[in-house]
Amino acid sequence: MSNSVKQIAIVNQQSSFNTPNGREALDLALIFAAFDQSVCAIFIDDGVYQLYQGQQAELIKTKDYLATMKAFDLYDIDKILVCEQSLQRRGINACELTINANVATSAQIRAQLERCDHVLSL
Amino acid sequence: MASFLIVIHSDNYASQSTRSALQFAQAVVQTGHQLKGIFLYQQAVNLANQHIDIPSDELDNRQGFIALKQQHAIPLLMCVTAGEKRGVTQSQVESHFTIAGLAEMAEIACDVDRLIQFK
Repeated sequence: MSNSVKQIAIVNQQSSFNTPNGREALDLALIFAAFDQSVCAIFIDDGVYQLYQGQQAELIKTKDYLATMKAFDLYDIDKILVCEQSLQRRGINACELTINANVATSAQIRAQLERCDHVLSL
Repeated sequence: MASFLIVIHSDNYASQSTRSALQFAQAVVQTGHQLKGIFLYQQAVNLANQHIDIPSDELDNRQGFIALKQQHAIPLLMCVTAGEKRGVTQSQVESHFTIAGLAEMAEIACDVDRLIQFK
């Protein structure tokens, strides 16, 4: 493995439970963090729903993987960007998010993506 | 020369993107770049399922990937967790594919210049 740390962006675009994408993106974020890479988690479009508070996975008999995002801290994933416009369009306030994320404009998100070596979107 | 890792997410039969991934992979090696691996994630684990049988008058993506492995020693890796959830386990996996974890994918990703997704 190369010694230099890679900047990895994991871009979440799908809502929490309609597809397995959120969960499988989370697995990607955690594995890269476990390899001591610099991971940035980005939530855009319906992906912002993954951070919306008060979701009750048990009502639809689904495993609640969302709680695992609270482990971002433990894994040193501290760059968490949420798209401002995506939140607005869905009527979600930043104070309704489950984890401490930075609300970012699309220009800021684009700038972050440009700084990354690898981008994985799900 | 650049080094690449290809990650495929889409179902082999339901999407064109597996073929696009194959064509991209062929182009990488033909132009003298280094392809360090092809990783099957999410629905793409289907590609490794040996029970999938494509009629002889249709293009078989899997044969294309196997040829890449045979001619250029490119590892064909299938995500074990994604496979288990989709019924593609050790006994179903075609012999040219290797069962691997996300950790192996991440290790290669840390080492390459470019990671390209096909969804």
